[in-house]
Amino acid sequence: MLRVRNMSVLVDSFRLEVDGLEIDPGCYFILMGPSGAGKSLFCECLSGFRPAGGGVIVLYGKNIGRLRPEERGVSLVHQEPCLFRNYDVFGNVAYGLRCRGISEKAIERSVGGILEKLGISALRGRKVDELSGGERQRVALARAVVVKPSLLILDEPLNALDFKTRQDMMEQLRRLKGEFDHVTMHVCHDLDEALRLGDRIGIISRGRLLQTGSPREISYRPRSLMAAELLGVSNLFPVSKAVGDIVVLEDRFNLRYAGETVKNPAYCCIHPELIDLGGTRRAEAAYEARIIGIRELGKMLEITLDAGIRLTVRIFDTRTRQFSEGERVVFGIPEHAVHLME
Amino acid sequence: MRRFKDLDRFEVLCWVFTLAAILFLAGPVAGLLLSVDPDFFAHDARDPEIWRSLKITVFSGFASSMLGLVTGLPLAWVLSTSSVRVRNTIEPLIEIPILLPPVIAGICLVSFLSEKSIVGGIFSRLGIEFISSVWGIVAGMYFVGVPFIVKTSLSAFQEIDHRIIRTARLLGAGSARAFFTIVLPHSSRAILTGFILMLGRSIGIFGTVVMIAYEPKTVPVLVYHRFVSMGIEAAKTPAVLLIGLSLLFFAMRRLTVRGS
Repeated sequence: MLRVRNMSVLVDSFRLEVDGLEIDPGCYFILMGPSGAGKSLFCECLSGFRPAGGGVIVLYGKNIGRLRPEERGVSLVHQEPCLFRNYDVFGNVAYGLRCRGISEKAIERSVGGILEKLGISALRGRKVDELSGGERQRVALARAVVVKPSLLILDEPLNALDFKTRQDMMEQLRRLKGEFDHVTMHVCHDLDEALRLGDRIGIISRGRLLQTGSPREISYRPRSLMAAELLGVSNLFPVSKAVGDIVVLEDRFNLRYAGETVKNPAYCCIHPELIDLGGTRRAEAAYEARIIGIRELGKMLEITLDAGIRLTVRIFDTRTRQFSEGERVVFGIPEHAVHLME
Repeated sequence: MRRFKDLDRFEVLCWVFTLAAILFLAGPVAGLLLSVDPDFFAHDARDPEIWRSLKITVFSGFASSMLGLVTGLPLAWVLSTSSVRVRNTIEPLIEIPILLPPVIAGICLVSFLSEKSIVGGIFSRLGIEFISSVWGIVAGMYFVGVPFIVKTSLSAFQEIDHRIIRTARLLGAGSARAFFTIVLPHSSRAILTGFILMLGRSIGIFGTVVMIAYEPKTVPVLVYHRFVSMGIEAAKTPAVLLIGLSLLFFAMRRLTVRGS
C-alpha cells in the first residue's frame, strides 16, 4: 500500500500539501486535477526527483522518502512514451531488468510474457521510430510493468492517443489491473477515463488533495465547489438560505428537500440524469418549467429548463416521450438527485 | 527552383552579396591550390620536416580532442543538469578561449604552464614540460578547441527530454548507467560533430601554439617559418597538405550532419 503523510513542498510560490493519503495494495487510484494543480509535482516527489518536503512516503511498509529514484520500486509512464531510441522494442522493455542484473534467459521469458500479454509480441525486433503512437505507449507500459514495480505512475498516458487507440489502451489497463498487485496512480483530466478505470479517485487542486473516494462517491457527492467544478457537475447553484425542508437556490427557486441534513449548506448540485422529466419515475417534489433548449448528444438528450433557475436534464431513454422547445413541462427532483455542500 | 527573372530587386541584391561572400571565402583557397607548381610540390612534399610536423599536428590534434571529450562531456553534462544560476556562472568561462585573441591565449598558457608557475611546477616534477614540447602543443590545442565539444554536447544534452532520463533512472539505472546507456547514445552525432570541429580547429591553430611551442613545429608553425625564412613558394607545400587535412575533416563533419 502507499501512504503519504505531511508532504509539504514549496516550488517558487506554489505549495503542494498532501497529508493522510492512503491507497490500498492493488488499487487503481486516479488523481484528477486541473492544469497547475500540482499533479506532476506530486508524481515527481513520489518518484524521487524532488524532495518530499519533510513528508513521509511509505510504499508497502518501506519509507521511500529519502531513497534515490532507482531504489524506490516506482515505474512511470508519461504522456509521451519516452522510449529509448538507441534500443529496439525488446531492448526497451528489457532495460529495467538488465539494470537489475537479471539473467538473459529470465529476461527473455519476462519480456516475452509481457509483450504477449499486451499483444505486441510482433513488435519485439522493431525500431521504436517505426511504431505508431498506440504501439509506443504499449511498449512504454510493458517496460514499466515488467520490472514489477510497487507503484506504477501513469502520467496522463492516454492524452496523446486517438479515440480508438485510447479505448483499446483503457481496455488493456483494465485487464492489467487485475493481474498485478502494485498500486497504480493514474493522473488524468478526463472524468470518463477516471470513472472507467479507477477503484478510487482523488481530486487535487491548487496543491491540495480535496477529496478521495470511490468513483460513485466522487461523482455524486463532491465535497467542495472546487471539486464539483472540476468534475464538470451541472446544475450547481449557490444556496441563498435553507429553512426547514426548503432550500432556496439563487434567491428564486424553492427546492423541497427532506434528505440528509447539512449544516450551513453553501452550494447545491442537482444531478441532471436523476431529474424526473416525463413522469417515468416517482418524484418527491414536482415543479413546473419551460423547455428552452434541446440538444442531442448521441444516444442521450440534454434538455435545458427554465424553472426560475436554469436546469439541465439528461434523458437516456428518448423513445418514451418527445419534447419540443417552448413546451411547458412538469418535472420532479428526487431526494437522491440533490447534493448539498458546506 | 525559381528562375533568375522571377526574383525581385531585393532578392537579386541578396544573391549579389552571397556570390561576393562565396568568392571571398573560397577564392583564396582556390587561388593557392591553383598557384602551386606540381613538380615543385611533388619534390618538396618528400621533405621529412614536413611529414614530421604533419605527424605532430595530427597526433596533438587527436590527443587534445580526446582530452576534450574526456573533460568536456562531463562539463557539458554538469551544465545541462545544473540550475540556471550555476549555468550562467560557468558557461561564459567556456567562451573565454573563443573570445581571446589566439596570441593572448598563448601568453596566458605560457604563464599558467611554465616551469615557474604553480601548475607548471607540479607537472614539471612529474616530468611533463609544456614549453617547447608536444605537451605544450596539446595544451594549446585543447585550450582553443574544447569549447567546441562543450558547446555542441551541451546543446545536445539540453535537447534530450529529461523524462527519458528519469524513466531510465526509475527503471533501475543509476546516474552513471543512465548517462552511458541513454544520454550518450542519444547525443552521439552532436558529440561526434563537436569532436570533428575541435579536431579541425586544433590542427589549424597557430597563434596559441607558436607562443608555447615554436619547436617541435606543427604544420601552421612550419608554414609561418618557411614563409619568413624561405619565401611564399616554400610555404605553399605544407599549406596545401594542411588544407587537404582540413577538407578531410570538413567532409567528415558534413557526413555526420547528413547522417543526423
